[in-house]
Formats: sequence, C-alpha cells, structure tokens
Amino acid sequence: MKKPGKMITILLAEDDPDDRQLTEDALAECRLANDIHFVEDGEQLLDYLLRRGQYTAMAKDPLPGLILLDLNMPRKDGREALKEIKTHPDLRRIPIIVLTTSKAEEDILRTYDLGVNSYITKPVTFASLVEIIKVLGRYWFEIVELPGGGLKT
Amino acid sequence: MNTPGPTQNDGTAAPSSTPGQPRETTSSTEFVCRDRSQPTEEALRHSELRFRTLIECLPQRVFFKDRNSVFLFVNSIFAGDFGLKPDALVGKSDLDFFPKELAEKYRADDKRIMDQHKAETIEEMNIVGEMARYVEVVKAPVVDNNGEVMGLLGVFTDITDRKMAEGTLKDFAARLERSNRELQDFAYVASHDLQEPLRKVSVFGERLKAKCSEVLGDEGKDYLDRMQKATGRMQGLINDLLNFSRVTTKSQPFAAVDLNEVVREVTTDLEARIEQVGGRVEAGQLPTIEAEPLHMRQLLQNLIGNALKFRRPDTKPVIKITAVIGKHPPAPGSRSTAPREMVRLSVSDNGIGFDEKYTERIFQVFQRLHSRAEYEGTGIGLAITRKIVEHHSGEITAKSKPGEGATFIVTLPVKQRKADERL
Repeated sequence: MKKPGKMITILLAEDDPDDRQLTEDALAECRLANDIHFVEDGEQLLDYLLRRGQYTAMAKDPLPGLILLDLNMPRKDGREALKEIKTHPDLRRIPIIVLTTSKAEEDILRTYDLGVNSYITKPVTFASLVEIIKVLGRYWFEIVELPGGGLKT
Repeated sequence: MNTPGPTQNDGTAAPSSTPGQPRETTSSTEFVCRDRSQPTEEALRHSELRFRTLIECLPQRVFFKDRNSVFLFVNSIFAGDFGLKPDALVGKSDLDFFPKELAEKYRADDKRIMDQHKAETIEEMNIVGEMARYVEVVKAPVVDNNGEVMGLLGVFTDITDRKMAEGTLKDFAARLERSNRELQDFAYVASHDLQEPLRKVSVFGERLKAKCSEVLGDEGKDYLDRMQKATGRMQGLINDLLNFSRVTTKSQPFAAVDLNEVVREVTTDLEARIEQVGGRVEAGQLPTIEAEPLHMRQLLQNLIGNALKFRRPDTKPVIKITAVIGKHPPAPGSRSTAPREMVRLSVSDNGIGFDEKYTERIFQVFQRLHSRAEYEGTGIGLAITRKIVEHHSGEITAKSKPGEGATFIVTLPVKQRKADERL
C-alpha cells in the first residue's frame, strides 16, 4: 500500500467561516492528518499559490496537493480563480475539487470545461460531509498518484 | 388611411357619378386632372356643392396648397383651429400660422412630395397657439394633364388620444414586465439564498446533538429533534419554491414532444412505486405536440404521481390517460381570430377523489386538502403543473367526487404561437 500522503497540504478556498469550521471538523473526524490552510476569496487563493502579498514568506514551502474550491466568493469568485489556475503552466497540475451549494447545470458544465477535477455539491448534513471528506482523502491521498515533485513555484 | 379620390385642377372633386362623365383612372398616389367634354354649368354647380358639403362635413382638417405651399383652400374646421374663417387663410402659408421650425418642416415635406410625385402619410406634431397635438397627415401631389404638379392636397387627423393611449399601454406593459421579472428573480434569489443559513442551522444542530447530547438530556434532545424536523421541512418548502420559480426563469425552447414517449418515460421512472402499490397505467394513443420537453415530463410525472399517491387504501390504482384533439375558438382578447387546434389530455384515477369546491385551491402553491400525517408533500405539485400549462397557453382543471376518483383535464395547443403572436 502506498504510504498515506501526510505531507500533502489541503487548501480550502471558502469565504464562509462556518463552512471553514465544518470542513476542519470533518477532517478531524476522518482522522486525516493533512495540514489544511484557508483562503477566503479568489484573490487570496491566487496570492497564496503564487506566493504574493501576505504569502511572500512562504516562497520555500511546497504548494498544496489539493484545492477545495467554493464557487461563490467575494472579490474574485471560484470560477475566475479556477480559470486562472487551470491556465497557469505550473499551477494547472494541482487537482481542484469544487465544493459548492450550487447545483446549477451551467456551473457544473462550465467548471469541467475549465478543467476542474471533481464537482461536489455541499452536503446538507455533517455526517455526509464527513463521508465525502473520507472518500476524497482515500481517493486523492491513497489511490491516485499526485504530481508531487513538480509542484513548485 | 385611404388615399382620397381624384380631384380637379381647381381643387374640386371629380364628380365620378355625374352622368355622361367617364370615370377617371388615376394612379393611387397622385391626382391627375383632365380636360373633359364641356360640362354644363349646372353640373358644375352641383359638383361644386357636393364637394363643399363633403369637405365641410369631414371630421378631418383639409387643405389645398399651390406649388409654393400657399393655401388655396382650407375647410372650416382647419381654419377654426386658428379662430378664423377659411377665406382668411387663402394666400397665406404655414409660416403665418405655425412656429417657424414646424412650418419649415411642413414646407420641406410639401416640396419633397411634389418633387417626387408621391403621396405620403406622416405622423407628426402640430402646434396651434398653446396647443400641441399629434396628427396623422396624408399629403398628395395634385398633377395636371401634362404630368405637371400644380399643388398639394392635405388631410389630417388628430391622433393625440391614440398616441397617448399607445404610450400609456407601452408604459404599462414595460412596468408589468419589469415587475414580473423582479418577482421571478426575487423568488429565485430568495429561495437560493435562504438555503444557506438554513443548512447551517441544520448542520450545527446535528453537531450539537452529536457532541452535547449528554448535557442536553432527553427533553433537550426532543426540542432539538423538533427543530431539525422543522428545518428539514423548510428546506423542502424552499426547494419547492425554487422549482416553482424555475418553470419560467429556466424555460427552454419549444420542440416537438411525443406524449406517448413522455408517458413511457414517466411510467418507467415511477415503476417501483407503481409495482409497490399494484397499480397500472393505461395510456391511449397520444399526439405529438409543440412544448417544452422537460415541462411535459414534469406535468405527467406530477399527475400520475398524484394519482398513485391519493389512491384508495383498498383499491389498486388504475390510471387512464387519453387525449382528444379538437378546434377551440380563440381565447377572448386573443389577437388571432382563427380557431386553434388543441389537445385535451385527461388523466383519470380511481383514488380518493376530492370535493369539487376545492378545485381552485388544489392548484395553488402550498395548498393541501390533507394533513401532513395523512399524505406527505408540501402542496407544490399541482401548482407547478398549472404554471407549466399556463406557460404553454393552456388550461388545467379537474373533475371529481369524494371517494370516486379524479380526472385532471389539461388543454394544450398543438402548436405554440410565436412570441409576437401571443397576447
């Protein structure tokens, strides 16, 4: 068995503090030991990934291995951020999972067009959120190979 | 407006019914005057009299001008606008009676019409003293035997009332459309944005129960259960409202829909439920109509689903779907006068039925005839069904008696009108 990807950092882009809290709780509930970092909108997300602004000091740290992305965020929304990341020569390799309340067909089509790796509608109960995080963790950190070595800015 | 009949070069109407006179044939856009075999003096006098009477009786303002747009003749009602007798205008021009800019526009129109030998109908402003009005003017060149333009005939009608009414109507339509759109946006946005906090209440309630259930005690847990059931119900209501508003906000283009196919699909979707209650769906031959495919599916799904739901406990549900096509007279107020080909779709069941005094009620949003304990659901199904039917310019009604089953009758056009043909 592959060794669990303990070194992989998860980045959650989510403007809602309650949802950040819930996702963190769900990670804890799944006993996923991964570091989780938070950004609150699309601009912060890009700053984080490109080590700009408040994130300049992180220049040496590895990039996140997985991004959980909310679609409706202030300043720069998830759709715009997704487009920029997926057209960036290095950042485009990072798997992105959209986690949103939107069930709109056009959001699903458009984000897959932009190269999203999975699209998940936020579950209504905490129990199903835990279940989803469990499955995600198992899939992305145990089953699939991630392009870990190449993920440097 | 019809182009007036031929006139003579002196401005008198050609007496088309005078004995011995050949009828004149003229182009419809100019007035050709011909020499004619010597009319008797009396015939001329009669003709003149008829002409005067006609011109004076017309509700329109009438004027004749010469090649230089100088008045040769006006009727009393035209002169009356200026508080004058007709003779007082003869020899004068628009410049003497109207504001300069307006008079110049009139004269430019006159010149163009006379130069081009072509009558025109013009909608324009007309200002007399303090009074401004909209008028519709027909101006036509008067042409002599040699094809020379001698002058111009003008007839105009005050259309101010019509213009105002058109404007008011346009305003109303625009306001109605705006308010409809706002209402739709409101329903959609409200239901969408209301979901978020509700989800939080539900999720944190769940967390509270999981983490603090010892502290809460039995009574506390019971309260929490009730709160969570209520949020669940509210989520259901909001979802229903969202679906209801989507009928029009997310509408798709019309296409040819084979209703036999739709019934087959819906029956397959509901197969498990139909088998579970030992039910049967019997569909006759149904037509293909122009409609929104997803709407037709939802319509039949709701009607068949309802029939399964409101079955008699002791009777296996049998649902019969039939269709007849017929001509219906156009709806009152409709622009089209042609009868429309309509399909009348009936969905009958042998279920519990209902008292017909509730017929209107069952099609309203969130209206129910039973308690939630008896039958699940929020009461949106038939409201959505009616909205779909109305979106297709159709009608839905129901016939029933308590305990004797119900028949839902949907009338839909076979072909949809294009947007501009609709009311």
